[in-house]
Amino acid sequence: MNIFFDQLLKKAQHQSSNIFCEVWVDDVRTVITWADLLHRSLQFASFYRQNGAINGDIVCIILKHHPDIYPAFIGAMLAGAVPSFLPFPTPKQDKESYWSTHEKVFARTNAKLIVTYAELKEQIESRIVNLGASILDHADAHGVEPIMIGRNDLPPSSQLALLQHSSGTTGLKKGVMLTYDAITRQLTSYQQALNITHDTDVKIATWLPLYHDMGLIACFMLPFFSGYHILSIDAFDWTARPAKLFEIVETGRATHMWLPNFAFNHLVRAVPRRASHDLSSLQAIIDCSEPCKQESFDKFIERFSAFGVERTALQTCYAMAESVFAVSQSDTGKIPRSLWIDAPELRSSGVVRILNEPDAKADAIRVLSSGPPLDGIEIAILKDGAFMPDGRTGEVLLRGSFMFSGYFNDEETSKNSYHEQWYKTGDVGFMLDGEIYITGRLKDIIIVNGKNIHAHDIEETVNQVSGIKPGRAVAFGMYDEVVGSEKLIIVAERDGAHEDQEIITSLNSAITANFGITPSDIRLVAEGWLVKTTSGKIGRGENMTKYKQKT
Amino acid sequence: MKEFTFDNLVEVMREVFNASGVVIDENSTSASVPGWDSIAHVILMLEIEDVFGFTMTPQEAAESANVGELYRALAARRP
Repeated sequence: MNIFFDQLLKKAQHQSSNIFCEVWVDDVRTVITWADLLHRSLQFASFYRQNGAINGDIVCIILKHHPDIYPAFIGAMLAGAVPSFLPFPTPKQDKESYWSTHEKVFARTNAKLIVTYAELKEQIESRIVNLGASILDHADAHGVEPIMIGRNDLPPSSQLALLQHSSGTTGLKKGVMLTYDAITRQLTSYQQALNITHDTDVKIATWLPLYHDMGLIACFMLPFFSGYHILSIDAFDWTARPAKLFEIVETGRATHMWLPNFAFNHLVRAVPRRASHDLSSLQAIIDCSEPCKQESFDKFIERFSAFGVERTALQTCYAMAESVFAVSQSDTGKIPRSLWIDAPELRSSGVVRILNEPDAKADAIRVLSSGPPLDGIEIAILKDGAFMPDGRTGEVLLRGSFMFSGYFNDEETSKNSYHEQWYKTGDVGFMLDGEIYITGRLKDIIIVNGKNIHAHDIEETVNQVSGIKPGRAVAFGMYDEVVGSEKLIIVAERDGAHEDQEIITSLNSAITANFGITPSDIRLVAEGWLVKTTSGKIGRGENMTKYKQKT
Repeated sequence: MKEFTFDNLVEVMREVFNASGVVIDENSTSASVPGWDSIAHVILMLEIEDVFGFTMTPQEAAESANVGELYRALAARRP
């Protein structure tokens, strides 16, 4: 029996005026009750069926922040189809790159329907020929007669519930397949880890976009499954005015928030000094999606304890789409454990040598625990083909009852991501006393403000810019304590035929347009500056060291 | 408070974007200045207020086509 929709059916019938979500768009608040959600979702389900969607069909949803994002998604599920959020194009983004990526996604998923807004519908129709999917304007679902469905019409729990697209190489997105079974098992386990139940009065304040796993699962699927209340603002509005998040926490008495680490720093820096908000309702502010930093927590508490934030509310989580979301969660109500570790020892041998804080040297690193694994998932550490004991680093492997079912229409990538029955995360970390600590990544992935980018992809783009000697560029990430995230650094050798500023402008624009991330520094250097490894490749680590020495 | 001049504005921008070696002139845009992303843009407008005593919202500032236009738009807001 599929229990995923239980709270929707129960609340729509017995607590119909209870609020599912409050959505702010340009300061205009829309309230969606559970009855509204069911009604509108059934309208969307009918709309999809009228346009030919049948069980298992993929429905791609590309919508800006709008009250319809919720019923458009649930409606696809109720119609038996498989929804998938995709991001909409932003002004700075390279349009050709955006459409090229998305055309591939539509083709690979064999999307049946694309639901979007009027302006984008026109663009898709004019740009993509031979598109198999029908393109729908979400506004046309309003006023449609809702479909009538009974419990027996709900999709079975073994069915694919949604596709979560994550970044792949050269921008191509991998479609993570998640069944209803996987989602309900993970959410049930996650509730236990958070010490909450269906009966707990939970209100989640969020600005996270739903095309990222943290926004989709923690701030939509979890409250939907559990019967909680969402307070939702737009990501772009939040970036420009971060205090807006605190306003909705205060007026809505929010209890939980999920934030990438950089958001803690942005709130500290950008909430006006003269502002005052009552944040005492917050029980958990959970740091996830990029490495969690003790310094970010310290700055946050220093600034906002006067607003009623308790240190014990600051929590950590390690998550990924391939395990639905959270793999681990720190114990709520306690302060996550923080360790100083001997950095040279860690780098050379992978052995974790804990230092006492008073003895912490300049070459020590500080790591925060991401907590114990959730019930239903196991974590192992693999190095050179052997499983490591506590206190030894290696690649983080996962197996459990809520893992994904593979990447959609990509069997090879699905198969290659496993070591025996263990999923290989590509993250590096260690286990200690039952808790996972993440220390880095195997693959050269840079995480800027919660967004993953592959260094190799950046370098490929750099190599195509006029003025750069082809093949003589390197990209790497460096943690910025002020921002609370990694910053993207590019070092490239000039070809001598162009002015520096012209090259910098071209590079900066190309990276921003293709990846949605602006480099923090572009260092143009003379031919021969970049260091090669003994195998003849340009070494990222070696050149990062050289770059730092020049700073 | 510092006097609001073009050079002083550029100095604030260099500080916020950590862009000591990059050209920032009247024609510069966020495309030509590494480090000038949406987060840094918000911080810039706050820093302008701290340094000069007045500012505009990040959204209003984003309507300026280049640094020259931004300077003139801010100058018009000078109390």
